Amino acid sequence: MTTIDPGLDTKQPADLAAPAWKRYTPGHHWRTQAEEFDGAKLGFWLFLTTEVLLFGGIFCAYFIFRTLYPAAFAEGSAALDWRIGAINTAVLLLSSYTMACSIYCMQTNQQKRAQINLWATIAFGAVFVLLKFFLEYMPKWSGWFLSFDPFLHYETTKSAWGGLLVYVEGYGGKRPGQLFDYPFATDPNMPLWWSVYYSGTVIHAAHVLIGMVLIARVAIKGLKGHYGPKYYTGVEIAGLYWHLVDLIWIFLFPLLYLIH
Amino acid sequence: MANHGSHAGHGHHASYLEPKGGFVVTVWDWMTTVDHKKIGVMYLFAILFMFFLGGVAAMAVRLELWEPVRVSATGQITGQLFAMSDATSISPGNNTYNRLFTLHGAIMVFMVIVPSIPASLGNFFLPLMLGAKDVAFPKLNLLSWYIYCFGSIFAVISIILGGVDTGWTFYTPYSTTTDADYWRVVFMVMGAFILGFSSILTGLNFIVTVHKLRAPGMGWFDMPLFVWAVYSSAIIQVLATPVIGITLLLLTFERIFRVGIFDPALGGDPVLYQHFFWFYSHPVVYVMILPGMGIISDVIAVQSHKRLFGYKAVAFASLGIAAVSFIVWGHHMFTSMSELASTVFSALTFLVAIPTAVKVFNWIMTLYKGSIAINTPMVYTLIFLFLFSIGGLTGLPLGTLSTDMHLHDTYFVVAHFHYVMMGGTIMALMAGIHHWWPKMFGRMYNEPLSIIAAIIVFLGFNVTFFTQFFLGTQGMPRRYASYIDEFQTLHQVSTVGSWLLLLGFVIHLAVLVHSLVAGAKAPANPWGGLTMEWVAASPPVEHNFDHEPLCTHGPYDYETTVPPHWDPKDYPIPEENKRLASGH
Amino acid sequence: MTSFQTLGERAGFLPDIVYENMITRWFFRTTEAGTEMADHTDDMFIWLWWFGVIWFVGLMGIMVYWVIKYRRKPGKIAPISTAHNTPLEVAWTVVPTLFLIYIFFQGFFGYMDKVVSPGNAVEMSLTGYKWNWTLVYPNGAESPVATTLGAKPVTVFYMPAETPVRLRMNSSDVMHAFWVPDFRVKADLLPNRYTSIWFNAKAPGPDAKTHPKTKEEADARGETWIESLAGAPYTDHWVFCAEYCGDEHSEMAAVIRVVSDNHWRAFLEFAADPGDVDPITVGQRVFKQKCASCHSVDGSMNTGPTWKDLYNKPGHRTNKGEVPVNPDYIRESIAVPAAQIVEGYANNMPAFVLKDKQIEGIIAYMRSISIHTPEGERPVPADAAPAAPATDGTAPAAPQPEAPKPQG
Ligand code: HEA
Ligand code: HEA
Ligand code: CUA
Ligand SMILES: [Cu+2]
Repeated sequence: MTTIDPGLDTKQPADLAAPAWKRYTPGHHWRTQAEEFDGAKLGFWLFLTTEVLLFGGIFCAYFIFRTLYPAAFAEGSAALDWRIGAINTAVLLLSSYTMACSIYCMQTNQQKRAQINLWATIAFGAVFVLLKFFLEYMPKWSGWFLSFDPFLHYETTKSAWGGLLVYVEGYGGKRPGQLFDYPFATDPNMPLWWSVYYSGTVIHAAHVLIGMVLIARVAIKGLKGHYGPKYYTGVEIAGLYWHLVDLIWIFLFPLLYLIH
Repeated sequence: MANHGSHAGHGHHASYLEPKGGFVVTVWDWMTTVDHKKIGVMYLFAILFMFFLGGVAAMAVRLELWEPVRVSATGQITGQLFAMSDATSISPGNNTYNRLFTLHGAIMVFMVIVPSIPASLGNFFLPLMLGAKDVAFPKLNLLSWYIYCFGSIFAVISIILGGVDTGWTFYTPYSTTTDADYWRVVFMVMGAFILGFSSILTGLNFIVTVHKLRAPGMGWFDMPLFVWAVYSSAIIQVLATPVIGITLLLLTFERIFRVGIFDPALGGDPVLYQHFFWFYSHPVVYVMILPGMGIISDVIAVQSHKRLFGYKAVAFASLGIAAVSFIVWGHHMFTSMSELASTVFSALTFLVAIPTAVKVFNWIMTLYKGSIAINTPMVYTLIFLFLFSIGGLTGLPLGTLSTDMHLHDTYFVVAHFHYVMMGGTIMALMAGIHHWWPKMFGRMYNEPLSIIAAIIVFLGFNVTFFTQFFLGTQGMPRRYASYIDEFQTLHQVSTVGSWLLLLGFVIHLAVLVHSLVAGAKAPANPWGGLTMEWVAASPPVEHNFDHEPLCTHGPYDYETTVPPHWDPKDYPIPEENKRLASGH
Repeated sequence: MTSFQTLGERAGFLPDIVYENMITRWFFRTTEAGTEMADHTDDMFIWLWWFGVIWFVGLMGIMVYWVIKYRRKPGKIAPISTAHNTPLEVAWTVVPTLFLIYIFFQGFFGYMDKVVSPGNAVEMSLTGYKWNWTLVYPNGAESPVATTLGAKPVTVFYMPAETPVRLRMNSSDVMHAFWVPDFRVKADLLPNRYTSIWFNAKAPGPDAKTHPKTKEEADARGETWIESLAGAPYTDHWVFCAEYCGDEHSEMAAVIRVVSDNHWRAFLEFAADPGDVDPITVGQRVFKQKCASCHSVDGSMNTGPTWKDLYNKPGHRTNKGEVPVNPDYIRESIAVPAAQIVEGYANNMPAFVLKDKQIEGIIAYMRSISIHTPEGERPVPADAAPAAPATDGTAPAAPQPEAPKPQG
């Protein structure tokens, strides 16, 4: 039996001077703002469930093929540098922390700090994606490294773009499926490992990017004073999403980097 | 339910159909509306259109099967509807047929039957039945409508590019190798992928709505059973669709980059694809049927002015079916799985038949001592019970291991799933459309004519599909562009039946169009329903109710309640009813 | 003695005359059970059919009766009536459950019979490819006999009666499924894994068809003349591909011809060495068995290029440029089809492992049907029947071999 709680019902005329969040009124079909907030959260939790199930598919494939071809997975995992993975993990954990802070700041109306934390979160996300692309995908796929890549410890044969890129003979070609042409693979099923690796990490990276866009949107609305103690649904939701993206990486990291 | 609900007809609130202004303005208003009613109506028409397309494809399929392909001694090819003029090989003609039935299956499943009831009638009536002003997330609702259109456009593009010949199941490795240098398959697969999102968003929108937006005083067991059913199928939609999402995504990677996860040539496993596919596509068959069952529960109670027998049993049966549906997918793979897995899945398959059986018993029991109105919704309800029972009971030999070894991938299966999908869901949809038509558009339709149409559909359906049970057991495999002479008679009977079906639906279409332009004005509560949508005006006003309705009685308390907008004189409640009611 | 008759007799309430004309009879009208197992499957199926009919008729009967009895009467409203009844509801939950448990176990036992083959089964290997089957007998031979089923010539697989036979199956491209309706068994052929299927066929009955007794009769019937099988009775069973596999999925058929065990052994010897001296005939035979599903010999375009006038054809281009169509090229195209792809065609021919004799035969056959064949190479047919191959293509030449019909 639902009862109408008059508490947060804000249908009284609002003074236009006050920031947007003070003037916020719930959607016409919601009885109270509290219910709207709960609804939004319930809805988003459901959405997160679907995300988990989506990655569930990838993990399922991972485990099946790992049991089928353990050697290939060990060898493939050995070809990944766990230090890069670890750094990325740390970066994401930090970003989760700043995200949480930004929500707290909104609740306590510390707009400036909230902004700092939000943009910091985005920055961390960017770092994650950049590391992934330039230190992991690019060399593995093509054999080209950034010349200042700290993890580059092979001698390079040629360089391009005024020495910005350097090439390592016989390092590249670690590609999925049919594109695979890494000369030194010992296990015939290596291509499959790389298929799983790329499918998993690319889809995850895509989620990171989406999360960054989401947070940027929230941050900008925040600048306009949309969020505050009385109304911070958007921030809360962006936060939930970001934590999930983080969580999934926490699973991907050991499964991909630490199994040899 | 609401004793002080809306005073329908009081002009001070405009009907949601009221044009907002000139043509352009009105169209713009519809295109940008967040009103669940308008979105529901847009879905309804889109889905009926898609149903029409799928039906046309089906007619072509039936025509091709009119006679088998024969090659004469001189290399003459006969019996191919789509033979190229200069064809000296039967491949091109067959290829066209394969694209046709794939098109038919894909449209009917992904664009018609999965969204059909929830997205159209569900969208329109779920909030009304809960006494809510709208669904929880109206903007999301509009978004999912546009995603639906977007996904359908992808599918259409793939058809323009020449269509897809994989079958609606996209089995690998065929689907990853056919038309290797074309993008059609990718487009069709992406289309299905996108449609998935629309389905997910609708689903979670409904779940939140049911949890948060029930009218004051409406507990879980005061909800109409249509709501329970849509709620259960929403749960399946949310939990199962992501898996087909990732599957289709991997399938696309497979085609574009040859990642080989499903490709034996690269160490992948095609059977893994089947597991992924059916993990979604079996639960989804209950996404198709549950809302239909919901409609039947409501129509049967309303049209026979009778409390639904075993309300709680039916409500929980819906949840039970939703739960079990997730653990039976393997029954589609008995011929490609290990013996152990097959055995387990066979056992689980029978589990799902029990709650369904319970529902059927409850529906029929509800008729007992009712006051049953014979009109189109009721006729379609009876047709549903008839056809769905056949469809379900023929599911048993398919779930039985030894017999499925014979029946798998034959016309017996084709007949089974048409009896449950067409004979179940689509018939329920027709019942629902006619039951709620007056409420949606404020107009009545020509009752006698649409009853006749319903009977034509019923006859046509059985002629078309009952023959296919025999075809299956007699040895006719499915997805065959041609067949051996022994099967011709039955195939021709089936084709004739499909013409009857077409006739029936065209009459329905005519009746409904006529009702829209010239139908008599509908009263607010033509059938004397007690659920809240009948409290609202016909058609409902912008925000559904003038005053927020209060839930004061159960959805089907017919013995003791005068239906809203009805004159107590027309509904004389016997004294002993009142006494007995106060008694318990 | 078909399963429904036995069932009809067992179900005493049905005199066979009623029974014979009953709808049930229709389910297997064109497919008499060809094994004991199939009889059991039919009994199971018919049992389920009656189970369904009884529930269905019962429920629909009640439904229609109540709809008529309780149709709406003006001014009268439904009297109060209980909205649930625990004993009743428990009953109608438990009773179906018990039935379903019983059904599951019955199905399970039948299934086990079907998948667990006896140790003494004769094993043969079966490969599926778009769109045909290759069956290799224990002695390494393949069946040289063909007939027509549906639109196209199909291979005839001779099988021994009353002997368990096990097929070890896999696919060389996409998935297929080997289905023998008369045996009520089917199993998928997967590209990455072996599957198997087994059966123990009934012996041809008294009213079974018989092989031609003389060569003349054989020619008249358009069938292969097998001396050692003269007059031998046989039963034919359809074989269909039941897993969708592309354009000619519906033509991917074959015929299982059951003969007595001795006749089958006799056939094996014939298959090992059909004894035809004439390479053209050999080639034409191999063509019908393996190539006719994609290549034509009447100049018509198909999945693969036609063989008519192909041999030594000037200006024949592949992705490797212009190449002469000579024996070496033909050998390569058979063994490693992917090596060169003919212009205007896709790379979808599976590799074939053929005996030299067969390849020689194909080459001879191609020579015999090409106008470009240099006079020196043009083969001289051994006997007088060389004209036939030249005209005969994917379309079987009249007189048509009769398509197999169920016995009785
Ligand atoms: C609306 C969709 C829908 C529904 C509701 C069902 C319901 C059921 N289906 Fe069906 N099915 C499909 C859609 C559906 N199916 C589709 C689309 C396919 C083919 C996919 C493809 O390959 O393309 C398929 C294929 C399919 C197969 C695979 C066949 C094969 O390919 O080999 C199997 C096997 O177990 C099966 C079983 C069942 C069972 C046991 C039910 C049960 O839920 C039925 C329960 C209902 C009843 C039992 C009848 C009502 C009850 C009574 C009348 C009371 C009396 C009953 C008893 C006493 C038991 N179905
Ligand atoms: C909801 C699902 C659905 C529906 C309704 C139908 C409806 C029909 N189906 Fe189909 N069918 C499938 C789902 C469906 N089918 C699927 C999933 C497959 C498997 C595909 C595969 O193997 O991959 C299949 C396969 C399939 C086959 C087997 C092809 C093969 O294996 O070779 C056949 C053959 O007869 C067939 C026939 C028909 C016919 C005659 C209808 C008729 O009932 C159609 C009648 C409808 C019309 C004629 C349209 C009329 C509509 C209007 C006039 C406008 C609407 C107006 C209002 C309603 C007011 N279908
Ligand atoms: Cu081979 Cu279908
Ligand atoms: Cu299923």
